[in-house]
Amino acid sequence: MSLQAGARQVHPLVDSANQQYQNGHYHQAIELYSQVLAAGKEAPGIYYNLANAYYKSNQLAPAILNYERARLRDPGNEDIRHNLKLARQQITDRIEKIPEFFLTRWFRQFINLFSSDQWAYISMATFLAFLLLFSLYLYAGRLALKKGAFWSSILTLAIAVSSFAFSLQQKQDIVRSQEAIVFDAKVTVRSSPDESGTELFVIHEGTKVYIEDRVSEWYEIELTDGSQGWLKRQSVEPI
Amino acid sequence: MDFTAKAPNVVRQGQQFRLTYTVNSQAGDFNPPDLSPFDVLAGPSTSSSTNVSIINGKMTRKYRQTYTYVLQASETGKYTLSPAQVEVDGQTYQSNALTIEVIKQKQGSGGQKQSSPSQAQKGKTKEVQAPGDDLFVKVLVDKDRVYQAEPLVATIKLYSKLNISGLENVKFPAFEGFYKQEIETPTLRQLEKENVNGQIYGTGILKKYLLFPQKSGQLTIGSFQVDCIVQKKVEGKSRSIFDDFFGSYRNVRMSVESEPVGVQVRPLPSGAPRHFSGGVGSFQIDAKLDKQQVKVNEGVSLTLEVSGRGNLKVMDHPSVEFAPDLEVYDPKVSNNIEVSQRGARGTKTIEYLIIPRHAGEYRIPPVRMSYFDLDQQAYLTRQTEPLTLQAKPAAGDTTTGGRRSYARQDVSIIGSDIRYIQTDGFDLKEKNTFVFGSPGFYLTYAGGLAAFFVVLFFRRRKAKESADLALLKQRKANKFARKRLKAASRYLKQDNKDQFYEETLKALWGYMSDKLGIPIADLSRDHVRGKLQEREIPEELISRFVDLIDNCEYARYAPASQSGGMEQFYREALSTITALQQKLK
Repeated sequence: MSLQAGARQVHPLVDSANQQYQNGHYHQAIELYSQVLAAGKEAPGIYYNLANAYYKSNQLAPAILNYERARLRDPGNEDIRHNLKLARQQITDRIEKIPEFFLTRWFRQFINLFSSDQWAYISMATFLAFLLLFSLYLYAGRLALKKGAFWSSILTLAIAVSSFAFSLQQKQDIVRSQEAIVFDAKVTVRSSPDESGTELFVIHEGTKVYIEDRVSEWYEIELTDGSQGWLKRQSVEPI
Repeated sequence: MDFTAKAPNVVRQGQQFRLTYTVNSQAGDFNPPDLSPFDVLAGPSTSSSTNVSIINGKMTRKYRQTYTYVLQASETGKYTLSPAQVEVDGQTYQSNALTIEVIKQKQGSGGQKQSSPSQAQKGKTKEVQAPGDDLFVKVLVDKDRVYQAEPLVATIKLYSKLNISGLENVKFPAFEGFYKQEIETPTLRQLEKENVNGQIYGTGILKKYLLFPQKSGQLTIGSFQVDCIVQKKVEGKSRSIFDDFFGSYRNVRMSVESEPVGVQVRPLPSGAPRHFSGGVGSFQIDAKLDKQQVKVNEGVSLTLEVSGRGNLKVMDHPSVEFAPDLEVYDPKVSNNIEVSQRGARGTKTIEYLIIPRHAGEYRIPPVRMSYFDLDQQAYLTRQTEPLTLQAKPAAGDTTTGGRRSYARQDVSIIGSDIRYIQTDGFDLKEKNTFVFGSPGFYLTYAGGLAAFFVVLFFRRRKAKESADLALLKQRKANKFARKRLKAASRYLKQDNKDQFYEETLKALWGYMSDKLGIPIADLSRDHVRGKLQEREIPEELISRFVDLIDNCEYARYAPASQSGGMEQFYREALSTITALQQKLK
């Protein structure tokens, strides 16, 4: 009950934020969307709208950060992907991606068809279906029915198990995100976690990095092209 | 036809001066104005000159006729001489009017005004002297409070009481923060006389600029520097009679510098319209197409003409919103601007070359241009009429059947923008809560499995129970049959034929029912035979059983009967059941 009441309180906030966005008051819209998130509520749409507002007020790094967050929570959404792509085109760094093995890529794309919750529901539904079909197999009189029930129960069990795994995977991506977005206009990446480390390369606002290791004030990061180095914790924002 | 009057602007009381009228054609009747404020000392003396020049075989003849008066002013004051009239070829022409100011005579001065360039130039020492009040330069501005981009005129003027023979090392000021355009001024030949605070100075305009401030705030026009070569009379020293008569002059270099001038530039008021092009002044805009109808792939030019007064040269040209499928080339911009004392005036012509690549009607929406009007102190917007361009399919291209001969086009992306925000269907939930790992999630699996096993368990038990019952019946079938047969044997002893056969029949069927697990109602000879064959009971035993049943049914209803038959039948039934019992274990 209390959760329901809470949700209803947040909705007017979202509506007024959308209103501000429609009127072109992007800064106010950012403020309101952030309040919704600060209240401990979230939805992919909120992150997406917030990112749009940031984009419109020319704040590229927070825009990309929130698009990424929205995409993790609703990986199948075409609008989010489109806008994220557009925002990425405007960042300074153009980093060549290491090409992934095509099976890995397909697998990734397949998992990204649904979010963690959706996979969880699929898993639950198919598991129950499996139990029903298996019971049918056990008690069916006719041989053909028995056969059909057996094979379809095996299939549903396989789907249930794999979607269980996918759901776990998608959840881990959000909870233990190793990705971060560069927020500083310009960051020098060093060879070791201290100021005297050799300067390796410079990256700019909006670039995505993968956090490999943490040492006090520093993150060890890797770029999509495979280069690694250390940078200060406050120059990036984990997704 | 040119008829001009010329005289100094300022003269001293009692000074002699010339008044000349010049006409560039053979003149007839000359009518001088009333010269009464002045004493006419001489004139009018007439002189004429002819100048013939042949350039490239073309001869031009210039004729000049001059009427000269020598006048003297007797009274101080400002006098206006009305225009003189002259008759040329039966027509009357008028000269310009003149204003002459007569100021009081001062003692010990006036000697400087000797225009005697032929004087001896002795002692060419380039000595630099402080100019003092007798020689200075000034930068004059006509306005010192202007709006940004509002034009102002800066005049560099030389004031001198001395005899100047030349200027050197001219350094014009840096007009920082201004866009400057020079105003044509006649070459300085002679200094004009002017009354400055009651003193006569020879003045000359060195340069004139039209300035457009490019930024707001306090702008400063830096100083103007020039070295003047001044002829000075040498006094004292050699006192020969010739020196006294001719005077002895030497050249002195005097460096003069003007004071910097400040100009207060106000920024344009806020609230500039969207189409503001940076223009300040007053403008008109006009657009026209050179052809209204063209064939596809033919060029048309759209000419935008911005005309008026103001900073035409620096303002942006207005943008035209062309239909996206028109091929438009970068415009050619030409300026025809005349700069004068009153500002810059002219036309800016912007010419676009347009090529329609598809047949159809293209609309060119009104071109809007906003500017800041200085008179009304407000932003005004001018717009052109909307234009339409009709493109007809290109004719005569028979090879492609009248089709366009160029490649198909992709849908051209005119702009890219992010997609719009999500407006509804928000499924708000607590942060970082997932279905995966929630109690409900695991409960679904656990509950499903539990329900499955419960069902399984009950089905198993029920099946076992019914299986047990069948086994019991089977086990007890023999016993039960014997019990029935025992009852039959009782009837045998009583010689009750009907009851005996009935009981025997019941015992036989009942045995089969229990043994094979078939309900009594479903029993028939064929059914039993089939079931027994399934269990691989020898055919001989099956027929024995079926015969027994047949005999029993027959004997039951047969009229003739003897107890001996009954006795034998009983034994036969007993032995058959025993035999079946062995086989049906």
